[in-house]
Amino acid sequence: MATPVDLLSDVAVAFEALTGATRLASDLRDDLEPIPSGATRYQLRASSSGSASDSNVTRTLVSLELLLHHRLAGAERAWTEGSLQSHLETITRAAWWRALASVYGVDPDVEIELSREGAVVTASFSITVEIKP
Amino acid sequence: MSASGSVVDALAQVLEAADAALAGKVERGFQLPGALSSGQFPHLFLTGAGTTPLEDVEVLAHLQERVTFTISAILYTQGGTQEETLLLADALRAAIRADRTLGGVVTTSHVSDLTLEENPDHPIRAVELVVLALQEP
Repeated sequence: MATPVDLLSDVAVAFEALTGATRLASDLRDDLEPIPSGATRYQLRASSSGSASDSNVTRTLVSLELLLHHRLAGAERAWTEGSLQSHLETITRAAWWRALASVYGVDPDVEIELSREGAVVTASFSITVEIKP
Repeated sequence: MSASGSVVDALAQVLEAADAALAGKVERGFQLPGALSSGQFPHLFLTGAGTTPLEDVEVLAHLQERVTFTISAILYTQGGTQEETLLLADALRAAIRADRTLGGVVTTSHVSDLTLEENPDHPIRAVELVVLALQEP
């Protein structure tokens, strides 16, 4: 039986392999660490969203928020229309999530928000997943 | 070179090129106009703007720093008309608008205030242009 902790670990490993990003020490604060020019960092947040059940089993729902931060070393669009789009395209695929050992299914409704402060572009990606019972 | 000094020097270069009458007459620091000889007019001094901090630093996410430099450009003219003085001030502002990065030293800059001082008993006029120069991370 998978747990939310297993899920977080699976997501972190897969996301780092996909993006090459390293995780910030804090998942909740953005005022503690600098990001070097051209570097990519991420934060991963999770909260329980109740459960889903069918006639046989109950599965835990977990809401995840991935924040991908990239400090620009050049033109903004080189990132937002380049690697970032590739990463977002991948993590919006249900198959990418279902390939994780702890994931049973995903909610097709995802949210993506882009923002920029100074030279750091942040892509916020939210999704709800069901973990394997 | 200090951070502020680099910006002031870059601003001096831009402003000195604004009008041929200012060639060799732009300098960092400040003097009272009475210390200038008649051949030194028009004259432009670049200095801090009163009690406004020369550098104002705003810390953004991920410890980035956005720095705003506030520089006062004080133009002295002697004789002539008020309109001639204001046209020279306009030329200074136009030079900044034409090169807002001050040669790539800052992200952008603009003239935020323009003040004219004149005294009917005195042939010297003063125009103060407050220049805000923003350096983004």
